[in-house]
Amino acid sequence: MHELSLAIDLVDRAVEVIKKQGPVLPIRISVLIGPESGVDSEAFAFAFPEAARGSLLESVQLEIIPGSGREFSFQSLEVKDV
Amino acid sequence: MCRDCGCTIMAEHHHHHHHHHHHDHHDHTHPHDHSHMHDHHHDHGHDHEHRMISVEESLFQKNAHLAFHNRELFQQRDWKVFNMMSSPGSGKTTLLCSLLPLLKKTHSLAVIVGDQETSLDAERMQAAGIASHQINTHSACHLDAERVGNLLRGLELHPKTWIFIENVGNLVCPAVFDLGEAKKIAVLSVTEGEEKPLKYPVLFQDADLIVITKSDLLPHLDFDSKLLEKNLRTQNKKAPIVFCSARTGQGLSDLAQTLEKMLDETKCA
Repeated sequence: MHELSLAIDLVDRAVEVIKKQGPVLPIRISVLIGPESGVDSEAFAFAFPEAARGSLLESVQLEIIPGSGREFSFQSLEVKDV
Repeated sequence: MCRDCGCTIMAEHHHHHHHHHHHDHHDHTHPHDHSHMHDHHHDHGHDHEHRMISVEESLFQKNAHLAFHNRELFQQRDWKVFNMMSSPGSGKTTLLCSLLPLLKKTHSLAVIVGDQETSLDAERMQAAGIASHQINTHSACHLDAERVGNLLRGLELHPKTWIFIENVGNLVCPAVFDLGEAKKIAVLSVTEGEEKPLKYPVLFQDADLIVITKSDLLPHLDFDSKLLEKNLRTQNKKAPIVFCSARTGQGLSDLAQTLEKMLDETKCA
């Protein structure tokens, strides 16, 4: 259930990162999720497009990297200069 | 430095890496392996440029940041805040309704109750003569630092008030959200089974105190208290485990003493 609010936090943070970059098109966003993070990867993947709708991240590809512990972090953002 | 207020909790990552690389492999599953110290420019001679911006920051950071400020507020006002977490129906409210009258003579008390809907729990507390405030989370499954901070910031409570935050009944999500509390209390009732600490490890791992409720039912159940303790100890070696019954009052004075002792230890630390 909290995956949606965490996905919204990710989108907000990614939008800030993108705005600092100037005119770029985000291609892919990578998130690290560990099995003890309390975040369910499937629920997060389901929530993300909802959170991204109408934002700069609307058509970005979400990559979930499995972690080993409690990690839940915004790893990287791949962008294309436009 | 924190980007909003200058506190030190939100270390911004200033090592943004700029990778120029060809993009044939749209299906690879790794982030690009790179050193944190340098910008790399790999020119492979293509027309459009994809760049990798490394961020590497915890997504719990927003909540961690707000929890940090809550903790600061609680310290300034000298409030002792407990975050109580359990599954729904473990008896958190009933426990508080029996425990708090024992503490009332010696302490200023307040209760924050989180539930998806209704103010039934807050009303129960009020009826028991305890100042209480309900937070309805609606769709959310847990309390977060923002909601708790917003409410507590506006309350006029005496210094040294003990504030019990009764979190939303849920063994998963509340464990992940720091509220800025001094101590985390995990509550588990004997009707829930001995294996809960193994099935929901995070909540029990992080607890500073584990309270086992409904102990008056033990004679009627095939519940193995020793097995429960053993399972708890695989997750948490240190937290005191207190058995009690809100109905008979058994164990409640033990619990009150344990809480007192835990706060004393915090003071010395």
